[in-house]
Amino acid sequence: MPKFTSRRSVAVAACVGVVVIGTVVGGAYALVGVGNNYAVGEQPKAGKQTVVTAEATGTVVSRVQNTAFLDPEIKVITVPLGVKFKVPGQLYGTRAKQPIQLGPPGVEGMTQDCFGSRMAITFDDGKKLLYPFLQHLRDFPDEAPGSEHVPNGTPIDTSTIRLLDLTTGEDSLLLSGARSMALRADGKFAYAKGVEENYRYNFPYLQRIMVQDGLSGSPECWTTDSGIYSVLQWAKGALFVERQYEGEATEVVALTGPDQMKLIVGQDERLLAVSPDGSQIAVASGICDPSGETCLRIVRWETGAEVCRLRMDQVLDPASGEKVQLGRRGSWEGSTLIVGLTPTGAALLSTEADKLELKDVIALRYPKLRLGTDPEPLLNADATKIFLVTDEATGQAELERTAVITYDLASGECARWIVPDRAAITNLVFDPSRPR
Amino acid sequence: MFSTRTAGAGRYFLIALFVCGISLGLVPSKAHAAYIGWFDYGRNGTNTNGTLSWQFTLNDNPPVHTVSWRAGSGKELNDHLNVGWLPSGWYSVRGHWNDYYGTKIWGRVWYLSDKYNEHSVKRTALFIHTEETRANGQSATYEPQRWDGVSDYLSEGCVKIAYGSDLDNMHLYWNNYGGGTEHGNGSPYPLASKLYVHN
Repeated sequence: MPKFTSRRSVAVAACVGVVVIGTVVGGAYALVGVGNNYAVGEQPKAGKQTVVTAEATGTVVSRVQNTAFLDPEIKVITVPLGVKFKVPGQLYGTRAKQPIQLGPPGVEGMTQDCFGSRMAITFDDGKKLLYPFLQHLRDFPDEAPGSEHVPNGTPIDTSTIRLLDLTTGEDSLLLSGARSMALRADGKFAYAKGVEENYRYNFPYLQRIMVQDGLSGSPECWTTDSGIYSVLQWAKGALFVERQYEGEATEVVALTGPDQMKLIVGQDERLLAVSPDGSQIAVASGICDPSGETCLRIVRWETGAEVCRLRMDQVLDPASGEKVQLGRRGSWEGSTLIVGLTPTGAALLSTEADKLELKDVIALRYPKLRLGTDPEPLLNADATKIFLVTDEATGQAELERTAVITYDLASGECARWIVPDRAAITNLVFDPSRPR
Repeated sequence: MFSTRTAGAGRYFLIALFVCGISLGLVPSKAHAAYIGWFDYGRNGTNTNGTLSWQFTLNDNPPVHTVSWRAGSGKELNDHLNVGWLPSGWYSVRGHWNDYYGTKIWGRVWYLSDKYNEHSVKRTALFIHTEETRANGQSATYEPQRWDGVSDYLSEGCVKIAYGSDLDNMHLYWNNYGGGTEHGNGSPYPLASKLYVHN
């Protein structure tokens, strides 16, 4: 049984008898639970904060329909798990009948950034793809007693960025010793360039941020000091970059030119999404009040002014009634903001009129879903669908799978495309840069 | 140059404690012994209530002696970059300082080797540490240099141990029972197979 605070008890009492109504929506496959308020307003402490008084229903997705094809609006890159970084991944979602094998032929490596950037970008009306390829040089040391001693400084792998022409199939090396990238609609291209070509064992892979006009322009260094960086995205004239410190503490800075850097997300916060016009950011904050409760904040990043906020301790999982945690990423299109939740779910919010209103709390609970994973939801361009990546548990390791879920916000229909053959690291291909 | 200083008054308390331990047979005598020691971190399914042990043998013979302290790692129950606990497996200690001076971490630290997580992402810049000043004290004004309680066991991935007797004792065992007395990241570092992480 969920534990209710006194405030929640009032809400529950007001909804007696309406705990969960199993409803098949639109002849589709979602079981919808209705009845509780999943957010309650909090009075602002400063003049400019907007009161959040959202009342939202929760949706429990208890069934999905399998589909043989990935939704035509999304592409994914899958990298098989358990192949020790030697087997490149595949691109799904093109018009080709078969998935496209990525990476240079015959070269061992992994079609993923090894430092956590998920970035792969299509451009030129979807005809070209920029993607990371980690070239494998030698096995990563395991440090177990009796294992081969690998000296510090031994080259282990090389980060590269490759360019695939989806029309001709031509796949070429764009940059070596470089990783994580962003491409703006006007062609402004940014990436992190390694001070050294290779990652060397136990040596920090230091980089500088480079910016150039187009893929073949002359690079300009925007960070004289080398550091551990990941390029996140463009936001109007600024480039958002994550900077990592010892202990893996991270901050997000906005770069507006060579060595012009502004801290926009501190280490107690996490950047979730950027508004369509690039002027506002959604952040998960662990410093909202003295109690340390997490909240979702909308901030004008250029001034640091808070637009509005939502306390997360009042957002409940509609399946269990328990508190949820904000996930690592969100997505923002128009005035619709979606953020990932754990256990596996998402919160749908409206950002209209500089207010943050919780519209729905969606909990995925269909059979054989591996609960707990953060599905890192992505909205399509017109904010009518959500794409989520899930792990499908079967009880047998060799049969476990990864899936891409397409959730239709209007109908509640939920479709599941299972990555063929085996469990895989599955990254959605999308370009968060603004403007596109 | 690296300081070998420990906290002033606590140092004498530790020595007394240690002598007591030897006289009661809780720890073996160090004389003429060659110790082999390593850290063991069991996550116990939590981010704030794991068990960090120092395990050691005398002349590579059984039994394996174990001393344990509460420790924490990560903010989430997975091994994801920046938020999850330390990935499973063996680590080398690539450096050890008593007066580390970083931007987020200070004081007594053990710098760990890089490791891939379950999703093929490298975890780097990982340490065993507490929250203290470079001089091993507590800051009245700066929270990251002050141990406040259970929430301080949380980390982006590092293993964290409480300031005070827990860290003091752990450091003592590291120094005397198969860890090392050298500081910095030069020879003899890296020391292979010095931390084993498991569920």
